[in-house]
Amino acid sequence: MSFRQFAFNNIRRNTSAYIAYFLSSSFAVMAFFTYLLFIHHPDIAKAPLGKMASVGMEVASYLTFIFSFLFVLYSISAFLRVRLKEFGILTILGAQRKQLNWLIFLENMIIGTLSVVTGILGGLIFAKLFLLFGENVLELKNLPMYVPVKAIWITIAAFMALFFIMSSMTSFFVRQSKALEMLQGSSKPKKEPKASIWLALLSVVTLSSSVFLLQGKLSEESLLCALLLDLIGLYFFFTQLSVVIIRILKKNRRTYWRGINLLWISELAYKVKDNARMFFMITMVTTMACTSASIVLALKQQAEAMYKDNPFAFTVYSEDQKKPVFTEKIEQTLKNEGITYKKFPIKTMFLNVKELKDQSVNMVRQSEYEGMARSLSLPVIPLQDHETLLIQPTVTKKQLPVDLTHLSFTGKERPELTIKKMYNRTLIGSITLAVVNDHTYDHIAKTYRNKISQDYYYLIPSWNNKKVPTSNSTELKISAELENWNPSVENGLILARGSQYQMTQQGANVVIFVGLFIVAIFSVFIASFLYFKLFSDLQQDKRYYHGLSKIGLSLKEMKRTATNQIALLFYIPIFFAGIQTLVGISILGDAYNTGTLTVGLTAIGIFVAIQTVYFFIVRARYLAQLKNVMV
Amino acid sequence: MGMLEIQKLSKIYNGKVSTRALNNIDLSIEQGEFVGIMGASGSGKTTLLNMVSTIDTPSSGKILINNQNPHQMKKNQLAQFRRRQLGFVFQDFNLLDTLTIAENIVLPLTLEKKSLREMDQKLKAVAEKLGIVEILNKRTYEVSGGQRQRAAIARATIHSPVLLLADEPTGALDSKSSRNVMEMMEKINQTDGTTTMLVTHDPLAASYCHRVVFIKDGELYNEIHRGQNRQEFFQEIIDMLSFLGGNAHELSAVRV
Repeated sequence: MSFRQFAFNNIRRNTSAYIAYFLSSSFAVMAFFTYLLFIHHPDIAKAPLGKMASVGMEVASYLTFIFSFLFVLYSISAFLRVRLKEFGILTILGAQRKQLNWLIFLENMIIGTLSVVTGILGGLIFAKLFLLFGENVLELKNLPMYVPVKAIWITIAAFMALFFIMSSMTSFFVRQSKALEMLQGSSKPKKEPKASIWLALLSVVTLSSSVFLLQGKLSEESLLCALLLDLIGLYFFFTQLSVVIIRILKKNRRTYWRGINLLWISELAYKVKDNARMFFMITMVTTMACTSASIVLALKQQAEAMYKDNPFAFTVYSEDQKKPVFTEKIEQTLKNEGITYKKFPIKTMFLNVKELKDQSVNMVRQSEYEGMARSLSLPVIPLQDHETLLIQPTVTKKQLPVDLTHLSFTGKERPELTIKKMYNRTLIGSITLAVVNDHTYDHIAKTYRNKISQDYYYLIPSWNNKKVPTSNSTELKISAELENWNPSVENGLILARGSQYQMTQQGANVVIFVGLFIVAIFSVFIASFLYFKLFSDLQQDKRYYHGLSKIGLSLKEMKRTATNQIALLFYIPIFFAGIQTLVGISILGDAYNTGTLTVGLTAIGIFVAIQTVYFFIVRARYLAQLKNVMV
Repeated sequence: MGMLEIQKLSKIYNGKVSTRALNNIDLSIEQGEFVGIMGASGSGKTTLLNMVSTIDTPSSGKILINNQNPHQMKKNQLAQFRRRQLGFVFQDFNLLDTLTIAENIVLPLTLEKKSLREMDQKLKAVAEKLGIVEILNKRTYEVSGGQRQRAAIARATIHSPVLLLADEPTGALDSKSSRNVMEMMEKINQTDGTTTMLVTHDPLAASYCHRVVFIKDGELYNEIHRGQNRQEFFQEIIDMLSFLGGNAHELSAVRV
């Protein structure tokens, strides 16, 4: 038997030990490959997704590779730890360190090569499914299957390099140098986890000051500072504070010394301390994924609301009245298409209000407002001098103070207006409108001549905005044409509500697609990490439960103890990620008006659901193994 | 009727070559008796112990503990039976590294969800009896082998079992600790009247018993009773072992 044959036979005859490592490596390859297959699709390259989308996809492919790298790294070290005893026996038989490393290198390269092959094959099998999914989410035309030569080459090169580097670094993983230590492997009793009370306190202090910072006024610096404090706090929470908390929990003997609590709470300190870094990583990534998912979905919802609430299909801002190029273009286009429209010229005056700290109003003329009001059947009231009608847009979350009765303006004349009536309606943009009679308007306009802008609003009755437009509707086609039209004029621009909506939708779709992909990969990786963790301790756990079984631990109690332990591994990080996401959303959510909270909860809910599926699979497999040792 | 009744017990391990590990064993142990089982490696003494401790099932024959047949019970019922009626002492202690000595000792009681007061009371009593009060808050890896085995005996007896089963309790101990552990088991047998069955290689450990039963190739071979003098009994055991086949040196070489 040559050395190479020995390595081959090791793998062939001990499939069960290698299978988890092999499968998870294959999965990492498959995920990366499918992703490449998608972004290098010839039709995607031509698709009008814009620069942002392609950059996003590029970034996602690096992220996927980094995850795969960490994942394979972790898998190898877990896998080698299980086999420490075997290496010990080989050392006793006289194998040199060099030979041992060569053996590990060979085995890893064999498994690596196999998993690259299976990963690519698996990726090709699922490719069509993935393309279908992509074309649905991104609302693209049919994506045909193709021969992904480029994707295959990149995958092979990247992962073979990865496995080669990993396999050459094995001496880094197998640190024990004495044969005895290897033989004992992981069966030596572990020391009780220690925690520094000062670092635990630091965790409390940093976490609470992070929360405190977020309560106050938010700026970019304070947000960044809070994030940093949160990171430090969370890290020491898992490595130090958790151990302290468990120690306090153990002091309460009334619950601790009761039934199986004694068994699993005592194990908990070890498991949490062992997995602290992993918990930290999972919590951070899950938080990021859930928070960004909720923000993106909120953006999508907001874009939808904006579209539905905006009665005007086109708006022309700051038209130069001597050369009205934009209005002419719109009217020309609409006429060519045979679409009837109503045009409302409005002179808006953008003013800062003393009573409102961070808000401004657009002041409009009563006569111009009434023109609009009649077409849209809005309330019309008579206004005396220095009286105003306030219209609060529904798309903004900023509320006017309840006791607001007057508006006054900065400037030398300081005219003061009495509010006669107020109602909510999105009319022109997301700024509050103040309607005044023509006389008052002209009077104020004398002072603020430079704040006036001539805008035009186009109402197109045949375009229904109660539903969101489909990608092939006339509105979106004309909107895209008009918005992309770019005359060489200094002032003015056209805003089409359809294009605004479509742009946000597409951007959000790309983010969601990429995000979903990363979350899916990450959650599978997490589950596999935990799986490895559990199964590398399996021999030890088997001995543990075998002994307990002899002194009368029943099968039911074993199941409950083990379930508690596995559940804690799976749900501790998600629990903290959930809390952090909720905090994050409640702060960032202020910037958007529609239900970010519901979206955030849904995002966490989906994540929890996926993890729960994994939890039941892993639990079933683990219990099946332990059941054998129960007498 | 004895406390433990073994009637016509046989065990056959089926495999490519089926092995008859035990053949037609009849044994009766009275309430309060301290019985040792001896025999060479492979003689079947551990099989016998496993059967009595309900970990293994007999191929034929019957075992009655306190007039109950544990092999007719369901799995969960059986676990409960072991927990309440039996106490186990193992060669490798079987203490949990994650628990302190005190927590290890009260484990059978916590599984039964006994009150804290009862647990504290019993823990104190048993720890004093076995002389391990000062190590109660230590971890298993912080104390010596002898202390660990005494803690294991404490765990095995804290719930006052009707039958204490010991599998080579001195197998991993030096001679001084062995003596100490055996004295503790003798003490518990005398003061609490706990019926004890001990499986051992070690003639010194066996010399603490009232009666030693010898097994050879799966069958009962002989038994000897202890008189007044333990030293004399020890000599008798050695003689018996050499008569059984090997020599004294070979058979008692289990000490580390």
